[in-house]
Amino acid sequence: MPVNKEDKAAIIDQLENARTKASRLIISLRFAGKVAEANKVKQKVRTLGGKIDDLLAKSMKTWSGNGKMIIQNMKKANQSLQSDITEIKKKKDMANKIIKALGRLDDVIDSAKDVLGKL
Amino acid sequence: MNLKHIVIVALVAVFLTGCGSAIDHGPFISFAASTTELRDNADEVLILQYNWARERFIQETTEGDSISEENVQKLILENVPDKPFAWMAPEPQLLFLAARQFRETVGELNDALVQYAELLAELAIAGHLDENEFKATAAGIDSGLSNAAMALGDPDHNQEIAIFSTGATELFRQYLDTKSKDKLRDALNENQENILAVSNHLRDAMRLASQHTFAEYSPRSLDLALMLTPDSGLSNGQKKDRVVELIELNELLIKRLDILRRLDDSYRALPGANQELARSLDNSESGLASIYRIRDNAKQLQELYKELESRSSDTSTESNGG
Repeated sequence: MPVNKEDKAAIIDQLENARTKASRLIISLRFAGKVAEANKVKQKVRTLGGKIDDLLAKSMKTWSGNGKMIIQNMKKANQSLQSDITEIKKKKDMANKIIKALGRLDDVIDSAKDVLGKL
Repeated sequence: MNLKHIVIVALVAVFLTGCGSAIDHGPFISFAASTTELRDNADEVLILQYNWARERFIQETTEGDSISEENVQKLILENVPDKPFAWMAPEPQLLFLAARQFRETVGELNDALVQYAELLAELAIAGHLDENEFKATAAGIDSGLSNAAMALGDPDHNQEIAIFSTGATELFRQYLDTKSKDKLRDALNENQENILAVSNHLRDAMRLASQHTFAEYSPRSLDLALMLTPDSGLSNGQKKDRVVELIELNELLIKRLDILRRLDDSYRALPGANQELARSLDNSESGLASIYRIRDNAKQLQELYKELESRSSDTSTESNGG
């Protein structure tokens, strides 16, 4: 099923939103003195940024794929990321939250790869 | 035919008839001028986007340990067999290369729109085209538009996009025969859906451009934000400079988004402008709100571009001085 225009735009919006949330996570980790963890997230943000660039480049030409499910998954990942950031700021269960946040970023990156694979 | 030529023809027509044309050509001239400004303004912001993407690619590619083979491969362009003037790059293309093609494609769509508006103005002012000239011009506009639309892609509808519908083309032909205002009005109305489709295509392009703007902003803002963390090793003075840079980056983002929002608003007004042209043939007192909206947006855009230019020269002076 081809992606309609709204879905196409919404996928990129969600990915960009995930990047901003992940960037906020890096900043929180750096302020909390967790430099190694911040660098791990930074590496993932860089990978995600590369995927966003690829999607935009494809989108500037043309692309299709199945979008609805991907958008839902990314929305959930973004919401969870936001709650992870809040917990990390409160310094609650930091180690566990950082691992979860890294996993969620992997999910978002996989979703982006999934979209690119369908182009 | 360009706008200056149309204006000269209009003045000559008014002079020769003494009392002016039966058709009030003012709205047609305004529409043609508005589409030209719209095209130029859209092109200006897409050049800025391309430059931003190009600058970021160079920065990101050359920092760190080594340049990835993937990026080096993507930098090598290839010819396209049997297409002597075409080029291609490995997929997915580097964003700055895609942004360049995107700009060209949007430019082609806008060119078609300008040609349409100028053809209408010529028809309204002088109506001296013969049928063959009109058909050739209309076919040329539609062909350029169709190629550009295909390049932009429209996965929702696999239909060809054209400004001139079959019905409208026939009505324009009848107008050339009869010089009846009714035929010109009917032709404009017949084209309304096609103008709406072109307008939607260009609005999609502006949305994509706004997403591109964020994609350029995000890595830059993160780099600056990380210089403000306790472990950055920067002095308070250096941090203050980074805060100023981050605020300026935010202002730049907001200005570019504002430019794209105004362009989007102008494209949204296009179908209304086409309708106003049709209505102006019934009643010379009819409103031209959409045409004026496009014109006013164009004025605002010029102001925003001036601000961006002055910011850019200030930054350049500061870096030279620093």
